[in-house]
Amino acid sequence: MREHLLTPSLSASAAPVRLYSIQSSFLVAFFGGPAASLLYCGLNSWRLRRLADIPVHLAGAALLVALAYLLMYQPARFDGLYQLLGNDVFRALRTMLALAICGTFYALHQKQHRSRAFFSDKPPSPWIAAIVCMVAGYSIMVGLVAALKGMAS
Amino acid sequence: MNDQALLSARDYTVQIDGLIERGRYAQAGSLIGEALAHYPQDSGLLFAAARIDYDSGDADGARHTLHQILAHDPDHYLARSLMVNLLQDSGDLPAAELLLIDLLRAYPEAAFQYARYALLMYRTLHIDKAKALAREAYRLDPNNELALTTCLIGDIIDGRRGAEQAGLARLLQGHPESENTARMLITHLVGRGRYRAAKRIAVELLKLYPNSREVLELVVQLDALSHWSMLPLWPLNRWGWIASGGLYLITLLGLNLVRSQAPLFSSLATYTLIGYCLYSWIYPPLLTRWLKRRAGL
Repeated sequence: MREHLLTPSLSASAAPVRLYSIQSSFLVAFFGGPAASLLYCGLNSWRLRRLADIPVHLAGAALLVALAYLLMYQPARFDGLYQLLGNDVFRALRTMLALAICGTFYALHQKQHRSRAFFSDKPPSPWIAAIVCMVAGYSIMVGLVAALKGMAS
Repeated sequence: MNDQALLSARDYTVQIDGLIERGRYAQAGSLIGEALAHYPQDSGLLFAAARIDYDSGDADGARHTLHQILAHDPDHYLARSLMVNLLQDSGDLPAAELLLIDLLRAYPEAAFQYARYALLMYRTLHIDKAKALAREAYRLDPNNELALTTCLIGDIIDGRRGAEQAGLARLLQGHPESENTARMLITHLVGRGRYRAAKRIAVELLKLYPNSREVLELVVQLDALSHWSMLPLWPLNRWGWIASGGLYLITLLGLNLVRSQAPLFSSLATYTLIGYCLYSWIYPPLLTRWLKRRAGL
Protein backbone atom coordinates (compact mmCIF):
# COMPACT_ATOMS: atom_id res chain seq x y z
CA MET A 1 0.00 0.00 0.00
CA ARG A 2 2.74 2.41 0.99
CA GLU A 3 4.71 1.75 -2.17
CA HIS A 4 1.71 2.90 -4.17
CA LEU A 5 1.55 6.07 -2.08
CA LEU A 6 5.25 6.73 -2.47
CA THR A 7 5.18 6.85 -6.26
CA PRO A 8 5.73 10.42 -7.52
CA SER A 9 2.64 12.06 -9.02
CA LEU A 10 4.17 15.35 -10.12
CA SER A 11 6.63 15.88 -12.91
CA ALA A 12 8.94 18.76 -13.66
CA SER A 13 7.76 18.87 -17.29
CA ALA A 14 4.04 19.21 -16.48
CA ALA A 15 2.88 22.20 -14.47
CA PRO A 16 0.40 21.52 -11.64
CA VAL A 17 -3.22 21.66 -12.76
CA ARG A 18 -4.96 25.01 -12.32
CA LEU A 19 -8.67 25.10 -13.01
CA TYR A 20 -10.69 28.00 -14.36
CA SER A 21 -12.90 29.26 -11.54
CA ILE A 22 -16.59 28.51 -11.19
CA GLN A 23 -17.23 32.27 -11.28
CA SER A 24 -15.79 32.60 -14.77
CA SER A 25 -17.59 29.39 -15.89
CA PHE A 26 -20.87 30.87 -14.66
CA LEU A 27 -20.33 34.17 -16.45
CA VAL A 28 -19.31 32.45 -19.71
CA ALA A 29 -22.44 30.28 -19.49
CA PHE A 30 -24.67 33.24 -18.69
CA PHE A 31 -23.40 35.56 -21.38
CA GLY A 32 -22.02 33.09 -23.94
CA GLY A 33 -24.72 30.42 -24.01
CA PRO A 34 -24.58 26.61 -24.01
CA ALA A 35 -21.99 26.09 -26.75
CA ALA A 36 -19.57 28.53 -25.10
CA SER A 37 -20.23 26.87 -21.73
CA LEU A 38 -19.47 23.41 -23.17
CA LEU A 39 -16.22 24.68 -24.68
CA TYR A 40 -15.14 26.53 -21.53
CA CYS A 41 -15.96 23.62 -19.19
CA GLY A 42 -14.13 21.38 -21.66
CA LEU A 43 -10.96 23.31 -20.87
CA ASN A 44 -11.16 22.21 -17.24
CA SER A 45 -11.90 18.61 -18.30
CA TRP A 46 -8.85 18.75 -20.55
CA ARG A 47 -6.66 20.17 -17.79
CA LEU A 48 -7.80 17.38 -15.46
CA ARG A 49 -7.37 14.78 -18.25
CA ARG A 50 -10.84 13.46 -17.38
CA LEU A 51 -11.89 11.07 -20.16
CA ALA A 52 -15.03 10.34 -18.14
CA ASP A 53 -16.29 13.83 -19.04
CA ILE A 54 -16.50 13.02 -22.76
CA PRO A 55 -19.99 11.40 -22.58
CA VAL A 56 -21.22 14.43 -20.61
CA HIS A 57 -19.90 16.75 -23.31
CA LEU A 58 -21.59 14.66 -25.99
CA ALA A 59 -24.86 14.66 -24.03
CA GLY A 60 -24.63 18.46 -23.65
CA ALA A 61 -24.00 18.88 -27.38
CA ALA A 62 -26.94 16.56 -28.19
CA LEU A 63 -29.21 18.54 -25.87
CA LEU A 64 -28.14 21.77 -27.53
CA VAL A 65 -28.91 20.43 -31.03
CA ALA A 66 -32.22 18.97 -29.84
CA LEU A 67 -33.24 22.26 -28.20
CA ALA A 68 -32.36 24.28 -31.31
CA TYR A 69 -34.27 21.81 -33.52
CA LEU A 70 -37.36 21.82 -31.29
CA LEU A 71 -37.41 25.61 -31.00
CA MET A 72 -37.15 25.96 -34.80
CA TYR A 73 -39.48 23.22 -35.98
CA GLN A 74 -41.71 22.22 -33.09
CA PRO A 75 -42.31 25.43 -31.13
CA ALA A 76 -45.74 24.16 -30.13
CA ARG A 77 -43.99 21.98 -27.54
CA PHE A 78 -43.11 25.15 -25.65
CA ASP A 79 -46.60 26.70 -25.68
CA GLY A 80 -46.82 26.61 -21.90
CA LEU A 81 -43.50 28.42 -21.59
CA TYR A 82 -44.50 30.98 -24.24
CA GLN A 83 -47.59 31.79 -22.18
CA LEU A 84 -45.47 32.18 -19.06
CA LEU A 85 -42.44 34.01 -20.47
CA GLY A 86 -43.67 35.57 -23.72
CA ASN A 87 -40.86 36.41 -26.12
CA ASP A 88 -38.18 35.56 -23.55
CA VAL A 89 -38.54 31.80 -24.13
CA PHE A 90 -35.59 31.38 -26.49
CA ARG A 91 -33.27 33.48 -24.31
CA ALA A 92 -34.47 31.77 -21.13
CA LEU A 93 -34.04 28.22 -22.48
CA ARG A 94 -30.63 29.08 -23.91
CA THR A 95 -29.45 30.54 -20.60
CA MET A 96 -30.96 27.74 -18.51
CA LEU A 97 -29.32 25.05 -20.66
CA ALA A 98 -26.00 26.90 -20.42
CA LEU A 99 -26.31 27.19 -16.62
CA ALA A 100 -27.32 23.51 -16.40
CA ILE A 101 -24.18 22.56 -18.36
CA CYS A 102 -22.06 24.79 -16.10
CA GLY A 103 -23.70 23.27 -12.98
CA THR A 104 -23.18 19.71 -14.21
CA PHE A 105 -19.49 20.27 -14.83
CA TYR A 106 -19.17 22.03 -11.47
CA ALA A 107 -20.67 18.93 -9.85
CA LEU A 108 -18.19 16.74 -11.77
CA HIS A 109 -15.19 18.89 -10.77
CA GLN A 110 -16.52 19.91 -7.37
CA LYS A 111 -13.79 18.25 -5.31
CA GLN A 112 -11.06 19.90 -7.34
CA HIS A 113 -12.78 23.30 -7.09
CA ARG A 114 -13.17 22.90 -3.31
CA SER A 115 -9.55 21.85 -2.93
CA ARG A 116 -8.41 24.86 -4.96
CA ALA A 117 -10.56 27.18 -2.87
CA PHE A 118 -9.28 25.60 0.35
CA PHE A 119 -5.67 26.41 -0.45
CA SER A 120 -6.57 29.84 -1.89
CA ASP A 121 -4.80 28.95 -5.13
CA LYS A 122 -5.31 31.66 -7.71
CA PRO A 123 -7.08 30.37 -10.83
CA PRO A 124 -5.58 31.19 -14.25
CA SER A 125 -6.71 34.42 -15.87
CA PRO A 126 -9.97 33.58 -17.65
CA TRP A 127 -10.14 36.52 -20.06
CA ILE A 128 -8.58 35.12 -23.25
CA ALA A 129 -10.08 31.64 -22.85
CA ALA A 130 -13.50 33.07 -21.99
CA ILE A 131 -13.57 35.48 -24.94
CA VAL A 132 -12.37 32.79 -27.37
CA CYS A 133 -14.99 30.32 -26.07
CA MET A 134 -17.76 32.93 -26.28
CA VAL A 135 -16.85 33.88 -29.86
CA ALA A 136 -16.51 30.21 -30.85
CA GLY A 137 -19.77 29.40 -29.05
CA TYR A 138 -21.59 32.15 -30.94
CA SER A 139 -20.13 30.88 -34.25
CA ILE A 140 -21.23 27.32 -33.42
CA MET A 141 -24.78 28.52 -32.71
CA VAL A 142 -24.90 30.45 -36.01
CA GLY A 143 -23.54 27.39 -37.84
CA LEU A 144 -26.02 25.10 -36.10
CA VAL A 145 -29.01 27.26 -36.99
CA ALA A 146 -27.79 27.51 -40.60
CA ALA A 147 -27.30 23.73 -40.75
CA LEU A 148 -30.78 23.08 -39.35
CA LYS A 149 -32.29 25.52 -41.84
CA GLY A 150 -30.33 23.80 -44.64
CA MET A 151 -31.76 20.42 -43.56
CA ALA A 152 -35.29 21.76 -43.84
CA SER A 153 -34.83 23.26 -47.32
CA MET B 1 36.53 36.53 28.97
CA ASN B 2 32.93 36.17 27.74
CA ASP B 3 31.03 33.44 29.70
CA GLN B 4 29.07 32.39 26.63
CA ALA B 5 32.26 31.43 24.81
CA LEU B 6 32.40 28.50 27.21
CA LEU B 7 28.99 27.20 26.18
CA SER B 8 28.83 23.99 24.19
CA ALA B 9 27.20 23.95 20.75
CA ARG B 10 24.29 22.05 22.31
CA ASP B 11 23.79 24.74 24.99
CA TYR B 12 23.85 27.45 22.34
CA THR B 13 21.24 25.53 20.33
CA VAL B 14 18.94 25.21 23.36
CA GLN B 15 19.21 28.94 24.09
CA ILE B 16 18.64 29.89 20.44
CA ASP B 17 15.64 27.55 20.11
CA GLY B 18 14.14 29.20 23.19
CA LEU B 19 14.55 32.65 21.62
CA ILE B 20 13.04 31.44 18.32
CA GLU B 21 10.05 29.97 20.18
CA ARG B 22 9.41 33.39 21.73
CA GLY B 23 9.79 35.10 18.33
CA ARG B 24 12.90 37.04 19.39
CA TYR B 25 14.65 36.59 16.07
CA ALA B 26 17.04 39.56 16.33
CA GLN B 27 18.46 38.30 19.64
CA ALA B 28 18.58 34.72 18.33
CA GLY B 29 20.39 35.96 15.20
CA SER B 30 23.13 37.72 17.14
CA LEU B 31 23.59 34.70 19.42
CA ILE B 32 23.86 32.44 16.38
CA GLY B 33 26.55 34.69 14.91
CA GLU B 34 28.52 34.33 18.12
CA ALA B 35 27.93 30.54 18.34
CA LEU B 36 28.88 29.88 14.72
CA ALA B 37 32.16 31.74 15.26
CA HIS B 38 33.04 28.98 17.72
CA TYR B 39 31.33 26.02 16.03
CA PRO B 40 31.11 26.86 12.30
CA GLN B 41 30.27 23.31 11.18
CA ASP B 42 27.71 22.41 13.86
CA SER B 43 24.55 21.14 12.14
CA GLY B 44 22.25 22.12 15.02
CA LEU B 45 23.45 25.72 14.98
CA LEU B 46 23.40 25.93 11.19
CA PHE B 47 19.85 24.59 11.19
CA ALA B 48 18.80 27.19 13.76
CA ALA B 49 20.31 29.87 11.48
CA ALA B 50 18.37 28.47 8.50
CA ARG B 51 15.18 28.45 10.52
CA ILE B 52 15.62 32.08 11.54
CA ASP B 53 16.28 33.04 7.93
CA TYR B 54 13.20 31.11 6.81
CA ASP B 55 10.94 32.57 9.50
CA SER B 56 12.18 36.09 8.71
CA GLY B 57 11.47 35.66 4.99
CA ASP B 58 15.08 35.28 3.81
CA ALA B 59 14.49 32.19 1.65
CA ASP B 60 17.84 32.46 -0.17
CA GLY B 61 19.78 32.65 3.10
CA ALA B 62 17.89 29.67 4.48
CA ARG B 63 18.45 27.66 1.30
CA HIS B 64 22.18 28.44 1.31
CA THR B 65 22.53 27.33 4.95
CA LEU B 66 20.51 24.15 4.36
CA HIS B 67 22.73 23.24 1.40
CA GLN B 68 25.71 23.75 3.71
CA ILE B 69 24.22 21.33 6.27
CA LEU B 70 23.22 18.74 3.69
CA ALA B 71 26.68 18.89 2.06
CA HIS B 72 28.28 17.28 5.10
CA ASP B 73 25.18 15.55 6.55
CA PRO B 74 22.89 14.51 3.67
CA ASP B 75 20.52 12.62 6.02
CA HIS B 76 19.86 15.56 8.36
CA TYR B 77 16.12 15.11 8.99
CA LEU B 78 15.21 18.66 10.03
CA ALA B 79 17.25 20.24 7.22
CA ARG B 80 15.53 18.06 4.60
CA SER B 81 12.17 18.73 6.19
CA LEU B 82 12.69 22.51 6.06
CA MET B 83 13.99 22.20 2.50
CA VAL B 84 10.58 20.78 1.55
CA ASN B 85 9.00 24.04 2.77
CA LEU B 86 11.45 26.10 0.73
CA LEU B 87 10.85 24.06 -2.41
CA GLN B 88 7.09 24.34 -2.00
CA ASP B 89 7.27 28.09 -1.39
CA SER B 90 9.37 28.55 -4.52
CA GLY B 91 6.84 26.55 -6.56
CA ASP B 92 9.20 23.64 -7.25
CA LEU B 93 6.52 21.13 -6.28
CA PRO B 94 7.98 18.07 -8.10
CA ALA B 95 11.28 18.48 -6.22
CA ALA B 96 9.38 18.95 -2.95
CA GLU B 97 7.47 15.74 -3.64
CA LEU B 98 10.65 13.77 -4.34
CA LEU B 99 12.23 15.04 -1.13
CA LEU B 100 9.11 14.13 0.85
CA ILE B 101 9.16 10.63 -0.63
CA ASP B 102 12.84 10.30 0.33
CA LEU B 103 11.98 11.40 3.86
CA LEU B 104 9.12 8.90 4.07
CA ARG B 105 11.35 6.08 2.84
CA ALA B 106 13.91 6.96 5.51
CA TYR B 107 11.26 7.53 8.23
CA PRO B 108 8.30 5.30 7.31
CA GLU B 109 6.54 5.94 10.64
CA ALA B 110 6.59 9.75 10.28
CA ALA B 111 2.88 10.59 10.33
CA PHE B 112 3.70 14.30 10.09
CA GLN B 113 5.51 13.82 6.77
CA TYR B 114 2.66 11.71 5.39
CA ALA B 115 0.29 14.54 6.33
CA ARG B 116 2.53 17.12 4.63
CA TYR B 117 2.61 14.96 1.52
CA ALA B 118 -1.20 14.78 1.70
CA LEU B 119 -1.35 18.60 1.80
CA LEU B 120 0.88 18.79 -1.28
CA MET B 121 -1.34 16.33 -3.12
CA TYR B 122 -4.50 18.28 -2.17
CA ARG B 123 -2.84 21.41 -3.45
CA THR B 124 -2.01 19.79 -6.80
CA LEU B 125 -5.52 18.29 -7.10
CA HIS B 126 -4.49 14.65 -6.63
CA ILE B 127 -7.42 14.31 -4.27
CA ASP B 128 -7.69 10.53 -3.98
CA LYS B 129 -4.00 10.11 -3.28
CA ALA B 130 -4.13 12.97 -0.78
CA LYS B 131 -6.95 11.28 1.11
CA ALA B 132 -5.08 7.96 1.16
CA LEU B 133 -1.97 9.72 2.51
CA ALA B 134 -4.06 11.50 5.14
CA ARG B 135 -5.57 8.17 6.23
CA GLU B 136 -2.06 6.67 6.46
CA ALA B 137 -0.89 9.60 8.58
CA TYR B 138 -3.91 9.18 10.85
CA ARG B 139 -3.30 5.41 11.09
CA LEU B 140 0.30 5.99 12.15
CA ASP B 141 -0.54 8.67 14.71
CA PRO B 142 -4.23 9.31 15.44
CA ASN B 143 -3.36 12.27 17.67
CA ASN B 144 -1.12 14.07 15.21
CA GLU B 145 -2.57 17.51 14.57
CA LEU B 146 -1.63 17.68 10.89
CA ALA B 147 -2.91 14.14 10.29
CA LEU B 148 -6.26 15.10 11.83
CA THR B 149 -6.29 18.30 9.78
CA THR B 150 -5.61 16.55 6.46
CA CYS B 151 -8.35 13.98 7.17
CA LEU B 152 -10.72 16.86 7.95
CA ILE B 153 -9.76 18.64 4.71
CA GLY B 154 -10.62 15.43 2.83
CA ASP B 155 -14.05 15.33 4.51
CA ILE B 156 -14.66 19.02 3.68
CA ILE B 157 -13.68 18.47 0.03
CA ASP B 158 -15.92 15.39 -0.17
CA GLY B 159 -18.78 17.41 1.34
CA ARG B 160 -19.41 14.75 4.01
CA ARG B 161 -20.90 16.90 6.74
CA GLY B 162 -21.17 14.21 9.42
CA ALA B 163 -17.57 13.13 8.98
CA GLU B 164 -16.50 16.78 8.86
CA GLN B 165 -18.15 17.51 12.21
CA ALA B 166 -16.65 14.38 13.77
CA GLY B 167 -13.19 15.29 12.42
CA LEU B 168 -13.49 18.82 13.71
CA ALA B 169 -14.58 17.52 17.12
CA ARG B 170 -11.48 15.27 17.24
CA LEU B 171 -9.25 18.21 16.33
CA LEU B 172 -10.88 20.47 18.93
CA GLN B 173 -10.56 17.76 21.56
CA GLY B 174 -6.91 16.97 20.85
CA HIS B 175 -5.60 20.43 19.99
CA PRO B 176 -8.00 23.06 21.34
CA GLU B 177 -5.40 25.82 21.56
CA SER B 178 -3.87 25.36 18.13
CA GLU B 179 -3.96 28.04 15.42
CA ASN B 180 -4.62 25.30 12.91
CA THR B 181 -7.72 24.16 14.79
CA ALA B 182 -9.01 27.74 14.90
CA ARG B 183 -8.54 28.07 11.14
CA MET B 184 -10.35 24.80 10.45
CA LEU B 185 -13.19 25.91 12.73
CA ILE B 186 -13.42 29.21 10.85
CA THR B 187 -13.55 27.33 7.52
CA HIS B 188 -16.31 25.09 8.92
CA LEU B 189 -18.37 28.06 10.15
CA VAL B 190 -17.93 30.05 6.92
CA GLY B 191 -19.07 26.97 4.98
CA ARG B 192 -22.26 27.00 7.09
CA GLY B 193 -22.80 30.75 6.56
CA ARG B 194 -22.11 31.58 10.22
CA TYR B 195 -19.91 34.58 9.53
CA ARG B 196 -20.31 36.34 12.88
CA ALA B 197 -19.21 33.25 14.84
CA ALA B 198 -16.28 32.77 12.44
CA LYS B 199 -15.30 36.42 12.90
CA ARG B 200 -15.29 36.09 16.71
CA ILE B 201 -12.81 33.21 16.46
CA ALA B 202 -10.70 35.10 13.92
CA VAL B 203 -10.56 38.09 16.30
CA GLU B 204 -9.33 35.80 19.10
CA LEU B 205 -6.74 34.43 16.67
CA LEU B 206 -5.62 37.97 15.90
CA LYS B 207 -5.15 38.63 19.63
CA LEU B 208 -2.79 35.64 19.71
CA TYR B 209 -0.95 36.69 16.53
CA PRO B 210 -1.22 40.51 16.46
CA ASN B 211 1.55 40.86 13.86
CA SER B 212 0.08 38.40 11.39
CA ARG B 213 -1.07 40.20 8.25
CA GLU B 214 -2.72 36.99 7.02
CA VAL B 215 -4.92 36.72 10.12
CA LEU B 216 -5.77 40.43 9.92
CA GLU B 217 -6.89 39.96 6.30
CA LEU B 218 -9.04 37.03 7.42
CA VAL B 219 -10.69 39.20 10.10
CA VAL B 220 -11.36 41.94 7.53
CA GLN B 221 -12.89 39.47 5.07
CA LEU B 222 -15.14 38.04 7.78
CA ASP B 223 -15.96 41.55 8.97
CA ALA B 224 -17.16 42.36 5.44
CA LEU B 225 -19.20 39.15 5.21
CA SER B 226 -20.87 39.76 8.58
CA HIS B 227 -21.44 43.51 8.09
CA TRP B 228 -25.08 44.60 8.54
CA SER B 229 -25.15 46.15 5.06
CA MET B 230 -24.34 42.73 3.53
CA LEU B 231 -27.46 41.13 4.99
CA PRO B 232 -29.47 41.41 1.72
CA LEU B 233 -26.69 39.50 -0.03
CA TRP B 234 -26.65 36.64 2.50
CA PRO B 235 -28.23 34.09 0.11
CA LEU B 236 -25.68 34.91 -2.59
CA ASN B 237 -22.77 34.67 -0.14
CA ARG B 238 -24.10 31.48 1.41
CA TRP B 239 -24.98 29.53 -1.75
CA GLY B 240 -22.77 31.30 -4.28
CA TRP B 241 -23.43 30.72 -7.96
CA ILE B 242 -26.32 28.32 -7.28
CA ALA B 243 -28.11 31.27 -5.64
CA SER B 244 -27.22 33.46 -8.64
CA GLY B 245 -28.79 30.89 -10.99
CA GLY B 246 -31.85 30.79 -8.74
CA LEU B 247 -32.03 34.58 -8.77
CA TYR B 248 -32.01 34.53 -12.57
CA LEU B 249 -34.92 32.10 -12.66
CA ILE B 250 -36.90 34.08 -10.07
CA THR B 251 -36.19 37.29 -11.99
CA LEU B 252 -37.37 35.74 -15.24
CA LEU B 253 -40.56 34.30 -13.83
CA GLY B 254 -41.24 37.19 -11.43
CA LEU B 255 -40.85 39.93 -14.01
CA ASN B 256 -43.09 38.18 -16.53
CA LEU B 257 -45.67 37.60 -13.82
CA VAL B 258 -45.59 41.27 -12.77
CA ARG B 259 -45.79 42.37 -16.42
CA SER B 260 -48.91 40.29 -17.03
CA GLN B 261 -50.65 40.69 -13.67
CA ALA B 262 -49.64 44.18 -12.52
CA PRO B 263 -48.16 46.15 -15.44
CA LEU B 264 -48.11 49.35 -13.35
CA PHE B 265 -45.38 47.88 -11.13
CA SER B 266 -43.40 46.42 -14.01
CA SER B 267 -40.83 49.25 -14.18
CA LEU B 268 -40.51 49.35 -10.39
CA ALA B 269 -39.84 45.59 -10.27
CA THR B 270 -37.31 45.82 -13.11
CA TYR B 271 -35.39 48.69 -11.50
CA THR B 272 -35.45 46.96 -8.09
CA LEU B 273 -33.92 43.82 -9.55
CA ILE B 274 -31.35 45.74 -11.57
CA GLY B 275 -30.48 47.70 -8.41
CA TYR B 276 -30.09 44.49 -6.41
CA CYS B 277 -27.83 42.98 -9.09
CA LEU B 278 -25.67 46.12 -9.23
CA TYR B 279 -25.55 46.21 -5.41
CA SER B 280 -24.38 42.58 -5.32
CA TRP B 281 -21.63 43.29 -7.88
CA ILE B 282 -20.36 46.68 -6.81
CA TYR B 283 -20.93 47.01 -3.08
CA PRO B 284 -18.99 44.01 -1.57
CA PRO B 285 -15.59 44.92 -3.10
CA LEU B 286 -16.07 48.55 -2.06
CA LEU B 287 -16.91 47.57 1.52
CA THR B 288 -13.96 45.16 1.69
CA ARG B 289 -11.63 47.86 0.34
CA TRP B 290 -12.89 50.36 2.92
CA LEU B 291 -12.52 47.85 5.78
CA LYS B 292 -9.01 46.96 4.61
CA ARG B 293 -8.03 50.63 4.54
CA ARG B 294 -9.50 51.08 8.02
CA ALA B 295 -7.45 48.11 9.24
CA GLY B 296 -4.29 49.57 7.70
CA LEU B 297 -3.92 46.89 5.01
